[in-house]
Amino acid sequence: MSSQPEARIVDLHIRTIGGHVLSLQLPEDAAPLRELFAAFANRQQAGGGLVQLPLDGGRTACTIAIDNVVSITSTPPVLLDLQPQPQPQPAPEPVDVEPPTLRKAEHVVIDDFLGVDENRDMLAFALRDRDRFKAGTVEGKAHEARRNSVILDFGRFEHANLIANRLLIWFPLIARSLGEPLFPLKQVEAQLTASNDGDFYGSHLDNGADESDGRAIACVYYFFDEPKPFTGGALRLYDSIERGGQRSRAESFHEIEPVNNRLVAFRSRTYHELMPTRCPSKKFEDSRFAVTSWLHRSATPLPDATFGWGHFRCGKVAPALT
Amino acid sequence: MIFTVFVAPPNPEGDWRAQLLEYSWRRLRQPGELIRLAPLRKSETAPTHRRARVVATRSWNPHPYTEDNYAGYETPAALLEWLFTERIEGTILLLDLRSVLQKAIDEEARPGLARACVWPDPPSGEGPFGLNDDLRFLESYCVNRQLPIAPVRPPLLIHSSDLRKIAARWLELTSIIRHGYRDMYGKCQDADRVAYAIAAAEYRVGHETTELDLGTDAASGDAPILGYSTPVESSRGEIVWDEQVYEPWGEAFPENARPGAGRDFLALLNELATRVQAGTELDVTRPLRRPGVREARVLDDMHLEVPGTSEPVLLNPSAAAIWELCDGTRTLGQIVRELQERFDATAETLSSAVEATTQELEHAGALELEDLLT
Repeated sequence: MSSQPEARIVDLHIRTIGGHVLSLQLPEDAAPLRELFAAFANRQQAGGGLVQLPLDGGRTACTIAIDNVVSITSTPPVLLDLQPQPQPQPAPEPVDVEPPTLRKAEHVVIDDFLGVDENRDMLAFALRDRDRFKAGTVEGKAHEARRNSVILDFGRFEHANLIANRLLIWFPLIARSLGEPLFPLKQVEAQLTASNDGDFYGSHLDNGADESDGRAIACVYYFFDEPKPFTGGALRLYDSIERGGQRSRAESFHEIEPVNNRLVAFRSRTYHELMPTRCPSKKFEDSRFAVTSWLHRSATPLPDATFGWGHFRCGKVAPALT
Repeated sequence: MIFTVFVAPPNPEGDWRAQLLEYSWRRLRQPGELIRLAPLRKSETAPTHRRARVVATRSWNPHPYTEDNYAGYETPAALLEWLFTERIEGTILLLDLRSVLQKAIDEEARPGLARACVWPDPPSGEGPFGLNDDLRFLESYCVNRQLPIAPVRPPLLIHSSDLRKIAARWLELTSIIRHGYRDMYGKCQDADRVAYAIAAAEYRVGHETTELDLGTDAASGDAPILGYSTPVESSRGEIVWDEQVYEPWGEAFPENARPGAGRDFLALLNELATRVQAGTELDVTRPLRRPGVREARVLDDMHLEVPGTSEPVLLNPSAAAIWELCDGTRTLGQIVRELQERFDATAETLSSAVEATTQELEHAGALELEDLLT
């Protein structure tokens, strides 16, 4: 059988503004003792207040304004827990409890995109203009995010028109397949990249940065020598999770193998990644080449803008295509 | 599998030609599927057919990017959309809308080699692809201008994988030629044919030329397809029928035509016109219940259990009344007449209901519609 130890008596000397000292004794387990120290510790947050202390065995009470207390001397010492008391929180806003939705990475694959000679001519262009390729960079990111070579201003070459013009024929079907209402075009932006041994491009969004606003659909056209002189280099398209109007990358994905003369189209807001390319010869001509064309959406119709070879007006949406 | 395909916009002219082509296809029991590609403009609705499957596509006439009015855009645009949407594999028999079948075709096309008719008068010359100088501007748009091209025209027997490859380029080149070509007559009226020939060459689709069709002026012939774009003449050379002025379903007079393909065509046209006028078209179709279909009644509704499907087919009382008469002994026309005796409804209303219901039941796998045309 055990018994509870008797509570000790604590001698208190409370010094207030002006030098006054109030002395009293309280059992160490007395509620007023805890209230006194709690109020003293939290007077900044609580904004002061009154504490009532029993005197003379409880027959008298002394009420003090805690703001006026300068110090408290206790024997034995009372350990002060300086953790702030939990403050009443404002009522939480109603939270949207809509469950997250998994959005599959919609994409379109078009094989035999160009004619046989057109496809070969793309490769000839890339090899002839190899000095134009520069190391690819990602603005504001470390070089670990991307490694490949790129002609950023590929759009000014006629080979870009070759692809863009054909792409515009496909545009209504691609948009419909991606569930994207047809939109007036502002621009068809094009880059040509070469991926050789160890090259990659980490997971990213094409329209994530401010200057990329307007990119709506990305179209990657692959061309390279045959038989395929490299392995890897697949395009990985990540599904996304939508919750409360926010979109984030899911862990699930779909990978598309690079096939010569193949075009892959997907929405620019799709997280995607270029998987590492393995090219044993390390020769530039054995690279995996790809033209990425972005179809930019125009906020307002541009009826006079021309695209491709120059006689397609796609800055407005024809009624037949709506 | 042979897909007999034609492109016909939903207008009176397209509709009667489509109906005639469909009739000839049914009459011959042409193997495979009949498909009408129907380019629709905004607010237009897809037409319906007895046997042809209608695939609605977007109209490219006028061209959505150039506003050029040219009917030649419709065929490559419709084919592109159809072959992109449906991943069919097989032989495509592409017919001109102004043609009918007069002999069934069972020969399949192999990938890489199409069969087509000779285009007798292509714009030949010293320009790119051996075309005339008016087409020299194509050098700016074509990588290899030395390719030999096949001067061919529809009808065309081609593998779906080949047509899938070339359709976009065909459509693109048609617009390029229409944009770049100017002669004393204006824009190139054969732009679609020139474009097809170049696109096929660029994608290495070869052609074997063959007599797939004949015209109404042919005295005789064994070709499976008959084109009626030229007027039918009498033995004295007078025009006795002209598709440009024909009002469907007026009477044609085959006996006035010179013996040969023209007379045969008018006889076929008359056969269909007579059926349409007499309202006896439904008498050449007999619905047969498929084996294993089981019936169950729940209150006023009837359910059909079709072997191989998980969902029962629910029939309302009207559909159930039609189903009960589909016992293999009656034609659709006889069913309509029997229903007329039971219900207070016009023959037209009942015909529509019977046709629609039996087609749905065929689609659901509960019925087979036997064609009694011979």
